[in-house]
Amino acid sequence: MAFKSRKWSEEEDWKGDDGQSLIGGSFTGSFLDDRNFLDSSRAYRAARYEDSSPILAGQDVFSNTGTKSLAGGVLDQFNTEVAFGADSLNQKAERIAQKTLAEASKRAAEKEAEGRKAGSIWSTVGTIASAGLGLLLCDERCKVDIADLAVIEQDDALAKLAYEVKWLRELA
Amino acid sequence: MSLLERVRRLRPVQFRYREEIDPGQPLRAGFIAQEVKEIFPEAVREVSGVLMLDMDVLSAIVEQAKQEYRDSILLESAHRFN
Repeated sequence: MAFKSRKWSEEEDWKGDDGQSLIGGSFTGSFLDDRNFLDSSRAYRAARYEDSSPILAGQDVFSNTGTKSLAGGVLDQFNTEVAFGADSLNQKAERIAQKTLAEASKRAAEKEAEGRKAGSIWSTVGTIASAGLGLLLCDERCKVDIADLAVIEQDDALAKLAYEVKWLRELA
Repeated sequence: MSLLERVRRLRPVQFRYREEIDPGQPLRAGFIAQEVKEIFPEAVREVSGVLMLDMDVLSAIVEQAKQEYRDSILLESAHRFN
């Protein structure tokens, strides 16, 4: 079928050589000019389908317009959202960590203050005991988990003395 | 009562200091000052209402007790040979 290149109006149907009406519409101007209403991307995509070439993810199918393929676009969008999501998660985790650290510091300070208040006598005595005066804190009130000597985790001069006494008791 | 017998009345114990005194709380060996005071009051001092063990005094006592034990062994051996 051969197309005529001529003007038509809404009132006039464009007809082929055989006089059959081909198009009835509102187009103005020549057909050859107005075929550009098919945007170049659709035309390009049609051409791609015609030559049966696969559309690959991330491939610039609509290279003439700079628009990426649907699959590629979705992937890019996904990657972008994941990246933003990861950043957001990192920021959130950092905020939580900072908040937790601040709360822990506050609790530690409070506990230390309570300890100073409640255990001031022990602190004083401990200072005296460690001042090289040869005095050791052996008050029952400052000890827990008291039992007959069997095993220890900390060796010191008092432990040596305790084991010597134990040895003397066993030899009796 | 001999010094050795008095020392043998001491009860060696294992214990942990309270957390505010010793945060690590390892298991230690020692004595209870209240118990030691009943046997050797000279080896216990009171500081701010808290009983403390005088290590120099207690060490001397235990050392003397060990010497008494050695002497008793020698004396027993001597009796055996005689």
